[in-house]
Amino acid sequence: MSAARGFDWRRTPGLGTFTALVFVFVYAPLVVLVVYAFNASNLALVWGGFSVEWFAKALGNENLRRAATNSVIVAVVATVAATLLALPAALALERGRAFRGKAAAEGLVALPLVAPEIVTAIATLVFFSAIGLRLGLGNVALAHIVFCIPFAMLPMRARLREMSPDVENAARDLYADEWQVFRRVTLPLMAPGVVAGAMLAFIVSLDDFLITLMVADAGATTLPVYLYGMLRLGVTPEANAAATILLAVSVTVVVVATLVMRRGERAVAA
Amino acid sequence: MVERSGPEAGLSGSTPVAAAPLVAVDAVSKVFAGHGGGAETRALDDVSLEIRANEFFTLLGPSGCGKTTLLRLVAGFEHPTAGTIRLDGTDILPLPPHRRPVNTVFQSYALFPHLTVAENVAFGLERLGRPAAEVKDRVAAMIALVRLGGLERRKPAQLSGGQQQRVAFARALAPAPRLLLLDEPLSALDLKLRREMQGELKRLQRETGVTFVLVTHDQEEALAMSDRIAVMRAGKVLQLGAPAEIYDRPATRFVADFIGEANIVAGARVGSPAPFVAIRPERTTIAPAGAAGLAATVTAVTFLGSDTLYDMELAGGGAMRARLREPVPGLAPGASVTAGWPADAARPVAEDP
Repeated sequence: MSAARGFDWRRTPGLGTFTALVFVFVYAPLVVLVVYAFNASNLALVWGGFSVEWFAKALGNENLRRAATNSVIVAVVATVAATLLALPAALALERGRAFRGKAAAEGLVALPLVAPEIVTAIATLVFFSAIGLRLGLGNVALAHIVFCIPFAMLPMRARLREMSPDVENAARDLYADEWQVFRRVTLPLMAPGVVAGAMLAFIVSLDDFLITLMVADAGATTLPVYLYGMLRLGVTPEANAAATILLAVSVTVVVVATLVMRRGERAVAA
Repeated sequence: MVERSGPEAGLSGSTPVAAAPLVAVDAVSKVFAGHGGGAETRALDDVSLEIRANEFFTLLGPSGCGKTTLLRLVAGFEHPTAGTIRLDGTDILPLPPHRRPVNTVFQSYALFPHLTVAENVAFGLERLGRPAAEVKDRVAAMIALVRLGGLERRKPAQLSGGQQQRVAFARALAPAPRLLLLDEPLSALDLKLRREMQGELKRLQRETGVTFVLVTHDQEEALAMSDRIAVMRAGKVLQLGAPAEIYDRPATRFVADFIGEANIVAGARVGSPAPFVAIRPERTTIAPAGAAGLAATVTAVTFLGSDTLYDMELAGGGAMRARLREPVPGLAPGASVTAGWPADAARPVAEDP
């Protein structure tokens, strides 16, 4: 190490070890979960050799399958609805004129990001029973749409903020009316943000536990809630296998979203 | 409140029809509200000017003088606080940007990054609903005009800065606008390319016959390309005229100093009734001490090859510069001299408003 090179925080002694420990701390539980999903023993934490039987069992479990189907239905409905609602909101906040209460509107839309989830969960439960709404899975979907909107909006707003308004002004200048500007210029350019927002909404919905636990009726259980129920009856590798499948789906969605975003950025970087 | 008048208002004006200008900016002011309780900014202060058909008109001034704001008002991206803007006698203020027969070349080019060169150029024509065959011919003609043949299928990110610039010109000229607005279009190019594009711009204007309105802070660029120049400062037009007129007979102290170089001397010191006189350094002479003129001391001598610059400090305070073709032998810093000029070189100029 040469003093002439000046201070470089990456050369701090022990940084490598520290970084490794952080990764172990964060990812060890996930590794354990995935490894024991391939455990032949029927005790979750005693290794009995390699096997995929718990995956077969998890996939053959009808209740588990129903919960997974519910999860996907809720996630798809919540993703589509939240994305369609977040898109105009993002445009209004980033491209619209200043309006009275704009700051308040921004705060209110973002509130589910900062409010403790238990508060949202209880509020949603109380609200649904107060108005007597009993739509089964529909209740779950409605609750998910609401808390997915701010997540869907985050990447859209970030995208709009990095797009120069000059490009949209150029379209306006070249005889495009407001709708044509949106359809031909704004939407294609912000598409990576829309896709990323939709993916984020999908993941947040798929992984949600607390709100779903409060709102879901017996027949409207989603995968995370069902898995929690399984664990209460004793931890078997079947729960590990189901959780591993959920993990794989989540990671895939995030990776796809990242790739789409990156491709869009390269297209726009002029 | 903004004053709006119908299209017929342009016909009742006192100007004879034959001399009707293409664009008439009348008493336009633009005030931007301050952000977060900050002071408001008066970007344009009661500006009136006329732009004739087929001319190359330049708005010249330092940054913050209001030239870009005026351009954005004509394009329709901003709305004036007061005043009217007419195009061909019709009040265009009620029209949104996409209904004005005016196109803009943006400083950032603002090309559509997801469309090819040809699609960029076709954008305006397609929005106007022109038949596909006409669009195709026109796009080909425009790409040939800006000499980008062979690059039709490229995306803007695959082009050099100069090529992107040409796409921006082709895209804005394709719909054959009544008026082409250019917002510092050459400022992002390096010096050599900028000189080249200046000639190119003149050629495009000549060949298309479209009226160009250029915004720039580069006085050399303005002098080289314009038919007429409006010199702006702090939201006001200080002088409007042909390049030679503005250079030879600057109206105010700021114009004299901003266009080329000028020695500004208080009128009283040289027996002129004007508040100031402006003398170009190339018309300033140096005589031995004691001659008729202003007593001065040489402070610096700079050899420039073709010319030599002599910086002088006047005995009564103030500085002067002379730019001589032939250096004065033996004249070095510290020498006492007399600064002078031919009688017709001293231009009376007014104080800035």
